[in-house]
Amino acid sequence: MRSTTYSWAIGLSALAAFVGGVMATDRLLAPARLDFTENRLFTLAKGTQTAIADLSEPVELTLYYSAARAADFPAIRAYGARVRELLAAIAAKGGAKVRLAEIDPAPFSEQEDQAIAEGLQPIPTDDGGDPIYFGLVGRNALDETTAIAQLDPAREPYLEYEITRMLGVLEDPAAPRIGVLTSLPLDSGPGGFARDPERPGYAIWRALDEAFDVTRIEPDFTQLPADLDALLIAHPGELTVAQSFAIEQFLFSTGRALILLDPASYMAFTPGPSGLPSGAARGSSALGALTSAWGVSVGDGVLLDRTRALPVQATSPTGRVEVIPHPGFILTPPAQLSRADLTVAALARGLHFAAPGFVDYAADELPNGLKVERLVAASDDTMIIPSAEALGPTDPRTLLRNFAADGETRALAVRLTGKLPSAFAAGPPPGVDLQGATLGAAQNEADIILVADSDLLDDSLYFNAQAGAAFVDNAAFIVNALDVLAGGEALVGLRSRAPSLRPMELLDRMRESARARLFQTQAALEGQLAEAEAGIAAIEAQGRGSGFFAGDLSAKLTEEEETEIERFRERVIALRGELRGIEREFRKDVARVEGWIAAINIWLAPIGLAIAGLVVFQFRRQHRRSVG
Amino acid sequence: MSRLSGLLAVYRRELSGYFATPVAYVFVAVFLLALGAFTFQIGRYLDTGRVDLAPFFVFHPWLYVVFMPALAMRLWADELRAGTFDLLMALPVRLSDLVLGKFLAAWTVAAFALALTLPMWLTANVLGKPDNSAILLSYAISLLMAGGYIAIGAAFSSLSNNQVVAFVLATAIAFVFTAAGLPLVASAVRDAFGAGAGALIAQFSTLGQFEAAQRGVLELRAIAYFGLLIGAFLTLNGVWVAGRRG
Repeated sequence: MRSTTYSWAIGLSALAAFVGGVMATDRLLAPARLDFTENRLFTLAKGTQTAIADLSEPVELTLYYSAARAADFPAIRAYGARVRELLAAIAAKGGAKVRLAEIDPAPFSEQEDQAIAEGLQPIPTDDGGDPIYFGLVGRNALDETTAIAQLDPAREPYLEYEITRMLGVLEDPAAPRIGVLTSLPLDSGPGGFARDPERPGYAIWRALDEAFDVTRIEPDFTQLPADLDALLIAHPGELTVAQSFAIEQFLFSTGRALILLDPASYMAFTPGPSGLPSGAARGSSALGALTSAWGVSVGDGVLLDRTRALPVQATSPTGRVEVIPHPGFILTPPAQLSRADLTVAALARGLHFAAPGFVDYAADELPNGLKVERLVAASDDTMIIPSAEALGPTDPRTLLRNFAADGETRALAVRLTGKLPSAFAAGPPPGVDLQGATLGAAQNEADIILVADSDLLDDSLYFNAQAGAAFVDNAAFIVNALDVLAGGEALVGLRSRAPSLRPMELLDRMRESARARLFQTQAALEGQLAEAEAGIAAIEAQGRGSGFFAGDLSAKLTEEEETEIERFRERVIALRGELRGIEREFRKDVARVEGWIAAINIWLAPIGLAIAGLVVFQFRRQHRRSVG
Repeated sequence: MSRLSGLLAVYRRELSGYFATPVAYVFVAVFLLALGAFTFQIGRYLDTGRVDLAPFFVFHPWLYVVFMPALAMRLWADELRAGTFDLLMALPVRLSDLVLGKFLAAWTVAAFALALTLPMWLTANVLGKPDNSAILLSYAISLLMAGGYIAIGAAFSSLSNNQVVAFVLATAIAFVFTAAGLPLVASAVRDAFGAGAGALIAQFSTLGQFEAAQRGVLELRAIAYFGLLIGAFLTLNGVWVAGRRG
């Protein structure tokens, strides 16, 4: 009896120890995690850790995720796991400061209404089922919220950045303040404010206005506002020495700027309200003493790129309008963008430039402590022509005829970091109105993005006004760059993360080559088909158009002609059948390999094991017999 | 008899018991067949276009619910049925060694079964470049999780001399421990008893504890959870066996 009581006591205490142990370890050991993934996908970057440490009040992150629905979509499901894990890592790091919740909003539920009210956008699916919600809402102690409306798998390189940014916004909800110094009519647009009072300005201006608290810096400024988070200098007009000094002072203290300098700006000559460009318009811009102190410059001359030339309409000498590549208008595809830098890493459509310059620097001759990283490179099929020539009327045919590539791969945009040396080593230039103390040297590390083109801001280069959408990522680049620069210490250090999704390369390659073969055969067959059809048409035309019956459409064809047409018809039918067959064949090839892979994995081990088992038993039986 | 040799003797006896009859072979073969079919037919591994083995590992807990109790059901029920139980109790081996030895033998068979899924891993490497260190971690935690299910099966095996009864009981308990992590269950509990209860229930689910490992993140609390799960059910196993001894 005593032993039964005793064993019950042990049994119950074992259960109690289990329950208590799990509850305790779940809490105590939550932060103890080891990242085994090859690219350290779930190890938080330093910037994220800083952002978490900087939180003064607790925040709540709510993941809206239609997990059950997402199960049908492998890409979303895989990314869902990725997002959950990163959030778990953040919550583990944040302890009591970061509360994490997950909601699976059922269709027509209160939670779905809540998701919509928080600004979430469902991911559209093509199967007509319930919407998939996959977004993140952050809430701070003051009940202010900010949301990532949609967590898009394509934006994975930005995931950690966006969540870190969210933490920053929750800590300080005011939009970053951006100062814009430009001679371009960005805010009024071509033709001035009056042309489209509803939506004035360039698309880029509206995008900036939406994302930031934008302050326009007047052309006659003497000082820059001290509370700017970042400065955008886009094709500045002629700057006085005092103005250059003011810019340097800003960079010495804040250090964050996106600078677009252009040896040949078309945009500067945009017609104003009078129908003519502004009298102050200049084709080129420079920062002179400033950039040369930093050891970089936007080279004199315009870069032409033959490989990446964009097609433009041009009138041929005979007066025909043709579409031919113009080496002054170029595309930089994602392959020419830095994969490591967040400002450009995920720009999937690339950037368009118009008559860009290039950023000139010698990596080993930079001033002490400065570092230059290439963000955007041109191809290696380029040459430089004088700016004046590029600004005049150019004929792409002439440019291409005279093209002589010099084999250099030049930078179109760079990121410059470190403590800036002064361009005014001898002290403030005379005549400067010294309001308050000036800085003799850089106080903080600067982070400057320098781009050798300003025309990339022009709507016509990237924005389809009718569709209201961009066709390349020029605006995304500018907004990203300013966002990163204005985001403070935590954000500027974040790098792009390697994607977690690893494709089945073997099958992809097979599909690719099968598709190429298909297209080739298809093209050949379609050629033959067109030939056969043309043959029929020719005979019919001939029959109707010949001799006495010319023009009589009901005229009879001769017997030979009939047979010939019949032959062509048979050929057409056969070719069409062949075309369909090829498409089937193409699918069959890949399906066969997939079938083999599945069969091997499902059947090989069980059958092998069954055989092994049979052999062992046979052996044992014989062994037993011989022993017995 | 030293401590270790007693344990080893029990372990060897049990392990050869598995392979003396076709039981282990049939069991492992069916397990592999089911896992393969689930991965390719239900998980549609090839349609995911990704080489990570998520559609493979995600079915492990669910298959363990059925297969691990099946593997463990004979451990004690068979002894009780055949009448060898009292003989076993009379041996100069400690009770804890008996429990542990039997458990380890079953666990070894589970490890053997898991090792035979190697073609799956090789396939992933032929198809593309999977994250092999993450996969290795998933395997390790999956094996640990299998241990948890075996401990449940072993404990219930000692409750009945009928293997089928032992299997049904163990599967039911294993199912509860697994299904507690389903969002469906968690949200139902949350709605009924509040958010805290939902989270609490999920903590006790193998699904939730296995989740991070599937993504390549080792959580110390998951190791603690499975360790505690094994410990608790092996203790119950010992208590129930001791109770039978009288």
